[in-house]
Formats: sequence, structure tokens, C-alpha cells
Amino acid sequence: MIKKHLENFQTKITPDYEKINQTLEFINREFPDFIEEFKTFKENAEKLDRTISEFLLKIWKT
Amino acid sequence: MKKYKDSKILLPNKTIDNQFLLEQQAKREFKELEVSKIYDENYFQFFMDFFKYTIKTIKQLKPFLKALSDAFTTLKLRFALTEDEEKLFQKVSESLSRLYECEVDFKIILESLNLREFYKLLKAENESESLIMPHLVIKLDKNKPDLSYFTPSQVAFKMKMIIKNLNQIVKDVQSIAETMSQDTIRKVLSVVKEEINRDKETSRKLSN
Repeated sequence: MIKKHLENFQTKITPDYEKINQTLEFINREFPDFIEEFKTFKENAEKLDRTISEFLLKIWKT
Repeated sequence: MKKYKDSKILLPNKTIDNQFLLEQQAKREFKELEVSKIYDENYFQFFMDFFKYTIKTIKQLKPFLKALSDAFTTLKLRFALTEDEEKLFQKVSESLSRLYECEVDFKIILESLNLREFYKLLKAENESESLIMPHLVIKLDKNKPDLSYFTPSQVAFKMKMIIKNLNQIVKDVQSIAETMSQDTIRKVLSVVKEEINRDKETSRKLSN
């Protein structure tokens, strides 16, 4: 699955699929909370645009 | 991932007689799922999201923090900073240095997994504005590490550290944006305007 999708990215250098899979396996085994942590990050990152825009607006109004 | 987490082994037509056999079968199926879940579509989505959101966030934060850091540095040279301004300046500096750490770790991940194509997305249009700080690049080059030697566990650890650091930076930026007073903004703006005018004057003199 990963291989198929990454090939769609037309990478010129072949990604190290084996290492990618091993990395994901390791995350799954050793860092079970990582996915939740990542979800929180995703939510915060999505709010970042607004934070910066509001701050720039605050500067503009000064 | 969620799809996998939520998936349950269903035991249809449970009876007391075949309970044991069904449980054994369920355990076997679950084990197979454990092995195959890394190929799950959601797992792939997590993997791609990691790169997408890391690149996007670094690109957003870098110019913002850099501009604030430069402004505070100039401000500090001209005026005595208040206690609150000192705290803000420290937070900006810490966030910026944490961001550089993320960039280097991100580069290591891309090199380790042979995903250099992603790295191009991180590069700014202007090469001098490259997201990787020169001193860090020199440090990496000097030691000449073979980045492909980073093991999957080291790569996974770096992925986790990046998310932990970026999460902290995003929270700090939120706090900086909320707590910076109008007075500090005015001071920063006056310094920035002066700098711009001085640059213009220097350019005018040089052209004459």
C-alpha cells in the first residue's frame, strides 16, 4: 500500500520501503500514544493560520 | 488507524459448545490483523500527514518567529526591555531554536528513508532563505554522518520528537500572540520602521 502511494509521488529516488515499514512497526509497538499526540498536533497546526492572521491584524490596528 | 483500533472481532452464532474454538479463531485473526495493520490505509494516511503537516507548520512558523526575533534583538539594542518583553523575547528565541532542531531532525528522517523529494518542498524559493540554518548544515557536513545509518527506531524517535517540539512551539506562538501588549507592538513597529528607513537611506546614498 505504502509503496503504491509513494510511487504516485513520482519520487526520483526510491524510498526505503523496508525501513519505512520497520519505522511504522516500531511506532506502533513502542509509541502507542504517538497517534493521539499527532492528532492533537494536527488540530493545533490547523489553528495556526488563524493565530498568525489575528496577530497580524492586531499589529495592523496598532 | 482509528479504523483498525475500532475494529472488533465478531463472533457470530456464539454457543457454549463452540465458544472455545471461536475464541481461538478470533485470537488468530487478531494476530493476522496485527501484522497487516502497517499496510492499512489509515496507517499510510498517518505517515503522509506527518510529512504534510510538518512541512506546512515549519513553513508557517519560520518567517513569523524569525521576524519577531529580529525585531526584539533590535529593540533590545535600543531600549531596556520590560520584564514581560524579556520573557516574550526568551520564548521567541527558544521557539526558534526548537524549530531549527525540528528542521535538522526532519532532514535526517528524509535522508534516512530516501525521501529527499519531500525535502525540496521545505526549501524556500530563495536559496539564501533555506530553512536549514547554515551553522547546522556545517555541523552536519563536518561530521559527515551517513544518514542512511539511522535505524528505524531512531527515525521513529525523531518523528516523535518533532511532533512534541512542534506542538510546544505552536502553543508558545499562541501564547506570544495573545500576550504581546499594544505598547510592545508599538515599540517593535517603530524600530522596524526606523530600520526600513535607514536601509532606504543607505541604498539612496550608495546609488548616488
